[in-house]
Amino acid sequence: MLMRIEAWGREEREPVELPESVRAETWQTLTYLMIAGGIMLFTTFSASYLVRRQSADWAPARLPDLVWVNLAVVGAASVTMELARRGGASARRWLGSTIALGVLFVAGQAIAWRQLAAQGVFLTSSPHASFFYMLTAVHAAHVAAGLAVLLAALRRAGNGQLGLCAAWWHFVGAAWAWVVMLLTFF
Amino acid sequence: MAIAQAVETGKAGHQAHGRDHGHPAGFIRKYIFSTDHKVIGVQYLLMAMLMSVVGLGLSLWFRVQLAWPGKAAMTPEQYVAIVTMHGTIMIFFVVSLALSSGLGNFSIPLQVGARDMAYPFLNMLSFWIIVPASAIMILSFFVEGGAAAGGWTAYPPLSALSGFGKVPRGSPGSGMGQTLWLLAMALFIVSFTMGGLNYVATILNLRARGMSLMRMPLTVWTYFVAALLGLLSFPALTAAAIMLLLDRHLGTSFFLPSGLVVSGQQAANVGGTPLLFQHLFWFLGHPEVYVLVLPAIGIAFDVIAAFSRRPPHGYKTSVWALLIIAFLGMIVWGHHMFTSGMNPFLGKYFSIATLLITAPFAVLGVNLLASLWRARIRFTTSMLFALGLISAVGTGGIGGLFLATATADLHFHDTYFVVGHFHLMIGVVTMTGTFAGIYYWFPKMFGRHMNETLGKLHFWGTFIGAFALFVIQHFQGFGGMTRRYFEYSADYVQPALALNPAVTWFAFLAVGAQIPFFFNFFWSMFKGKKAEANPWEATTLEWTTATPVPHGNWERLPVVSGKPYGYAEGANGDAHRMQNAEA
Amino acid sequence: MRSQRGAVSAWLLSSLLILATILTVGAFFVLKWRPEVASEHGRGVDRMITYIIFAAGFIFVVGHLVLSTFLVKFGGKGTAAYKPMTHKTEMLFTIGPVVFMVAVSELGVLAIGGPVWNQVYTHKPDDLVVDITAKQYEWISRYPGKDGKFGRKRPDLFDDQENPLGLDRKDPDAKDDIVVRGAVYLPVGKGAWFNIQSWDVLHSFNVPVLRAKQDAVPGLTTHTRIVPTAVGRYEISCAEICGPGHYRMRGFVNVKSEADFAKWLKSQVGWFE
Ligand code: HEM
Ligand SMILES: [Cu+2]
Ligand SMILES: [Cu+2]
Repeated sequence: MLMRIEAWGREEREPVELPESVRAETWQTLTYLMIAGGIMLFTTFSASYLVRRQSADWAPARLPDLVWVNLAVVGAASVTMELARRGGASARRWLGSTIALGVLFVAGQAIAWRQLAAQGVFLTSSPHASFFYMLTAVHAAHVAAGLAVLLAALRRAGNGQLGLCAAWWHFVGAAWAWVVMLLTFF
Repeated sequence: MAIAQAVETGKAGHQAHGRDHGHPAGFIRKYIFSTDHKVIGVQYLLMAMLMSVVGLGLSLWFRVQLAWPGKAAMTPEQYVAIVTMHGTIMIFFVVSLALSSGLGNFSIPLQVGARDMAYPFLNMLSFWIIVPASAIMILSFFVEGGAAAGGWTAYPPLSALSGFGKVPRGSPGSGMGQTLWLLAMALFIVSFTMGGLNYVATILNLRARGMSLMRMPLTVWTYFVAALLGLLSFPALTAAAIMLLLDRHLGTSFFLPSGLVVSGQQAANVGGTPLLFQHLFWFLGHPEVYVLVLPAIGIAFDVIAAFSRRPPHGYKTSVWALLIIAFLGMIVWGHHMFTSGMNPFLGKYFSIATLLITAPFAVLGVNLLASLWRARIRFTTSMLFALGLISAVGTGGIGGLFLATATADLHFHDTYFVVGHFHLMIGVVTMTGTFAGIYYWFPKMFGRHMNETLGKLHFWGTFIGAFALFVIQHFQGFGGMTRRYFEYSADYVQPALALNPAVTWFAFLAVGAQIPFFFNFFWSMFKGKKAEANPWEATTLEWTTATPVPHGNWERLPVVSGKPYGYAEGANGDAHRMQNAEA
Repeated sequence: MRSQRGAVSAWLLSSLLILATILTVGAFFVLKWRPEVASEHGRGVDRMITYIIFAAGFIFVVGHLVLSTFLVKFGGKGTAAYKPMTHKTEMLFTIGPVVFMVAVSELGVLAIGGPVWNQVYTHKPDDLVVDITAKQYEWISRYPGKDGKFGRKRPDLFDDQENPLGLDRKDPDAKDDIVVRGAVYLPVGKGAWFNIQSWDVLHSFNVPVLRAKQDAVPGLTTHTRIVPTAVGRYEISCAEICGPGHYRMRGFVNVKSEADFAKWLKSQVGWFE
């Protein structure tokens, strides 16, 4: 068998490289598919939320005001992301600010958790709280993925290739806006 | 190199490859942690074969218990765990791995004319995530309480009543075994999602120059549709699994309702809705069965075309049928829940919507059949399996007709009718498709043919055994025989029960028929008849490269000039035209 | 490659497929393939099933005949010449199956299935109301007693031996509730409306001879309606996996004549009486 598939693995050190233009297309496909998957994930959670809230024990709690501040932070991060995407000399700086805002957002979410916990609202206190903790955690994972990508992009910022990073980042921001609306108004 | 690149302009035409600079890499990089899609494809196949020994072994064990109660040295606790693990392993770790991941990895880049998957490293990672997933799944037999035992569908409350913290324990298998089951499934989802991303990116962006979407072989079409379907539906299971884990370990009440009393112990949960899990599970589960079955049908189209020496009937309508099946497949999940306590109006809707799917399926079936019209059939083992698939798609599909009619499902739900139906579909159709593909591509994989005599033995045993076994199960379902039972005693079930030994004997035949296959597979790798580059005189791109396939697949990437199925060409209709032939 | 061997394979496979078709169809005549039916809607269910047997049987038989014929006709030594179909014939072969499948299947579910489905889920005012409670691995039925009212079930009062329904001694509605373990009693020819609940996990109230099947879901009350048509004793077999004891979660529906049922009901004493 080794003889038979000898030819397949002849060369490993020099990987099969795709030309830049094709590579850009595959990244595009990958990103949009992941966003589609992410949308499905949050849609599923939202549908579950809407089903679960029919139960008699439903008693929505007031979220800490901080979540609105965090929403503003993530919104600002989307703006700086856009500015970075435009490219040019300051792109790197804007990308840096986006990352900083992203980190600030996650920190803000962590503080919101602490505030809720201080009020005695824990994961199991009410279904509403369960959803809040779970959705913030799931969302934070998406933010973390975004931050990792942005950090990787920091090196080559400026040559105007941040379109896909921006798409993911806006998705993450929009997802948080959606989650806050859901948890507050429904 | 420079000249070659200059000539190969166009979409993916630029793909350079380093074959000229080839340094033989070490064994480990080449065969273990390889990023080559062909190696990964074979790795998946081997993994699936390994897991099938476990999965099929379990099934024979409980078949003995069913046919001759008491003879199998098995307790009821073991029985439900074994049934659960058999289902999970076969669906996710045998059929998915062999068909979706194994043959998909091998065939997609070769059929679209790409040097590899879009993300070879990601591809390698997908495979290596499956290894711990499989290990965890199997090791879960040996933890306290044994393996998960709530059925492969893992419905809560049973699957949520873990016995951890304040949560009461629902059954022995609901403990650590169920947690490991969820963990293994989570890894599987990660791997399968990464694989799906790779498939779609490869098919959308890496096609050879000239390969428009409507020039893709149907195999590629089915993998494409299946991958999209999987990517859009798996998030629902991910969400359900997260909530189930929280319920099990941290005491939330997503799925656990108020007022639970389990073995006399009162639970603290309030307000959860068990039905929600079923909706989420089947929102994934129904598309998932199409994810499995569609590529098998696609492979059958390719194989039948090659061995009947004519293009498949109705390429365009098949593509449309696929797309319609995918769309409808996402809005019919409730047909698994007719008796679940779901609103009866919804039940009616799901019944009507599901029955619509039989129409595109009928189109696929008719197209498969019509592909034999005025053919010049060559009865290779591969072709025999593809022909068997036609029969199984038809037989399994009409079983769906019974189940999708809500009123009739009152009688059939959770009986052996359902068991027979889905085994025909995700057991026989998928595996005949897989075997058709393996016998077909084996010469391309290993440069040698599989032995045809052993192959025929494999086919007849598998087909006769599986067809009889699962059709008889339909009759047991007519008789009302409930599924997932350790033993039967009711009066009404006696006539159906009498068929149990026959079912078990046919199961032994079907499983026994895999022995010549295993032997044939490994023996032929080393000792099989040497194969040329295009032994079947097939026309799709994988047959245009050398055998064994070089790293990077082609010296020079092919440029596509026509339809994938250039059969029955020439004045006498007995010539064929490769897909990259000069115009 | 096209040789005598090909012809052998063609004949073998096509005779096998024909044999399989004959055996499958024949099985309906030889086997006692369905339990008798003893409920009003059950006859409707069987009518529905019979309709599909004919529709599906037609597809099954024709499909396999065509496949077998093609195998022999185009798999032997002949040299058939492929000709592409005209666009019109091709469309015919697409639209034909679509129209056939949609017509046959939707007609069945709308004309035959729909009314029966409604029957199962419509509560009629003078139905006898029976409360079913499932728990691992037992069926418990309850009748409201003289006051026609069911007492409340309280999880905190549950006791497997003494009080499997968790009834409250102080609840006046509960006092005369009649509780029967492992069995249900019904009068023949009269509609019974079931309220089905579960204490612990999913179960399914499945009585094949009555063609009744309805899951018991904790936290939810599900319903089904049965009108028994023959006196007899019919098994309940749980139809939703509920643990290792799933297979022994049995019970009986005893259908009695109206007089016998009244006599039985009279002989029962309330849970706290
Ligand atoms: C003609 C098309 C089909 C129709 C109308 C159909 C309909 C149904 C229905 C209504 C059920 C639920 C039965 C019940 O639980 O009472 C069912 C179960 C199932 N079907 Fe199909 N089906 C079709 C094709 C397929 C295909 C192509 C596959 C797989 C590739 C498949 C796999 C399954 C599986 C796995 C289950 C049972 C899952 C379980 O309960 O464990 N079906 N089918
Ligand atoms: Cu389904
Ligand atoms: Cu049960």
